[in-house]
Amino acid sequence: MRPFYQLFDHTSDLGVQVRAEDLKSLFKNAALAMTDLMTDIKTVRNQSDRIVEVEAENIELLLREWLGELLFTFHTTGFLVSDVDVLDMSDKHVKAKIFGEQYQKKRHVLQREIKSVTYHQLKVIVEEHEATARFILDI
Amino acid sequence: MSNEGLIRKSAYLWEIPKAGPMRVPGRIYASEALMNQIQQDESLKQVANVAQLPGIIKYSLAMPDIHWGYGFPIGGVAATDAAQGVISPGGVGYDINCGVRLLRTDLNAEFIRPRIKNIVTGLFNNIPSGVGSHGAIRRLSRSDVQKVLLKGARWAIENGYGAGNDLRYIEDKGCLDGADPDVISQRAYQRGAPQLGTLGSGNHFVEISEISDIYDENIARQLGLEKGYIVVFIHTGSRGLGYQVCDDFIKVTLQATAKYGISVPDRQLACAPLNSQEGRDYLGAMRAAANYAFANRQVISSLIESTFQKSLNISPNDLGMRLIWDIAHNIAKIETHMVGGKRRKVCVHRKGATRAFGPGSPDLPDEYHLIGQPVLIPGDMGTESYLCVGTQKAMEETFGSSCHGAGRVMSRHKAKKKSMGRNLFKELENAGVFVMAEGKATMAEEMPYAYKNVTEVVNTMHQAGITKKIARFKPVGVIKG
Repeated sequence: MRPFYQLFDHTSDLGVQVRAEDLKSLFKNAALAMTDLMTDIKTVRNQSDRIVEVEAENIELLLREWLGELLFTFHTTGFLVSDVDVLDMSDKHVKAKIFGEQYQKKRHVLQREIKSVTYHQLKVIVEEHEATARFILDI
Repeated sequence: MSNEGLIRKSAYLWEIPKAGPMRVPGRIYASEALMNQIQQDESLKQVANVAQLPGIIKYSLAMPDIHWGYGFPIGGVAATDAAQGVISPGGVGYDINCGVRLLRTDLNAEFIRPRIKNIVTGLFNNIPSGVGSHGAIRRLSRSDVQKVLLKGARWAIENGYGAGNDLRYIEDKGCLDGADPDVISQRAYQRGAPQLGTLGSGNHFVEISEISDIYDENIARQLGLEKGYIVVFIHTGSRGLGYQVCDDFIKVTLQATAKYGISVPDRQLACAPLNSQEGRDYLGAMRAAANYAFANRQVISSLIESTFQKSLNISPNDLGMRLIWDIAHNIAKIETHMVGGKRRKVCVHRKGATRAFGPGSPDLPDEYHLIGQPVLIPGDMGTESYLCVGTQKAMEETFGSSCHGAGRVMSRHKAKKKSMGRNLFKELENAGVFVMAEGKATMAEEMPYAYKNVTEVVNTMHQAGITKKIARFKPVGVIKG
């Protein structure tokens, strides 16, 4: 576990809490947390990049869409995220450049498969100097 | 949730009285010891939340393996009126038709024990987890996947995975009618194409077990089960295709919830009227994903059979592998049940709950007509699993449903902490279970101490008269995704 996220107790799945200084960093940290829960993020190199863009009705749904998009990318292409540069964002839209590499069985020790990012108790709180998110991953 | 308001109806049944926006009371099957555990997380609140769904009939039900899920509790059963009620993707879950199948063999446990490492290694190599890798079978085209979605387990058999007779022993003969491949998104096709014949991670597994106890000789004999012999459990579902269908339709039903003026206490309980376009579309998509899962378990069965033959160098005849039953435990089904003395068409959501039809049900093959439907209840990987059968009382009280497993009692986070610094593989091996696992964290999170006592769960349903205990199994070898 890394300093940018913590796990909270949920009986069947995985509760994740992420903190950051602002919304852009929050989205970045949430993405990195998800990678780290799949494999040790220190083993994921910055080998290529791609652009991800998602929209939603509000900031909480946007976080879910964002993580859902990264999960879909992993499940269909094997792309693991090592770093994120949020290019543009509002409460309803995020565009980011994601860096990382393809999952390789020999290089990356698989920790667990994440099925999806749930809506249950999904929370994003933005304060003056801190942004916090809580979400539950279906394992 | 506090126990305030919780009423004990009998030794194994508790009720949450109807209050506030609840449309029906909640009912939970549990012993006192299990109820003490249940009260430690948010699952009772979730039972009360489900009771708010429009059209819910009789009770929001929970089985003794109930634990905190997302939206519905895991171990929850809710029947809604097929004409006036709703369907909720959260009442089925991401892993649509996650389920269990049980294969019997003619292999004696004494013969298998010295060979278990060889067999487990063979299974581990031949059945990919599918996480970041591909299935054991060729990548399917879109039109192949469409056929899988329409035909279910039959597709697998037509393509050389197993025998036609297997279909008799699968819930709904391995294919739900009314599957609609046209409402499945391109994303779901993309996720499903490479994953047929993969196990997945989390709590999915293939387990080789010894039949350790028989509680009803007569029924066990009819099922082909004898003490000291080997069986194989498979636990997996619809893989990424199902996850994507759930994801897609939570979005659809979130909009439908607003459109039809439905109020739900949790976004994950988003739902749509069964007689709306959104409800019909989800039903068609969910059935298609369920068929993918039936095909997946059929393919994996066939991979297991060939691995056993190869590892042991024996003929199919000497192996004697045969399907006992295949059940879905994350699903919604349109079924007819007696409600208030009248036959009524309902949509039974089983979220981490198993169908448990009693003797005489027309949905059972002739061989099981007098026995009742086999109910497969795997425990954790270190202790034991059970086969039970459904009863008439299940038909009367639980819309023909029962528990689906031990049920978690400890969060993944806590279980992992507890596992730190321990050689879990060695611990299990010392306990007589040889395990190979792909997901390293999964292994720590799925250790026996993370689960309730499955015997207590099964005994609760046995004592309550919902299912009848037939046989118990002790694990010998396990592969986990």
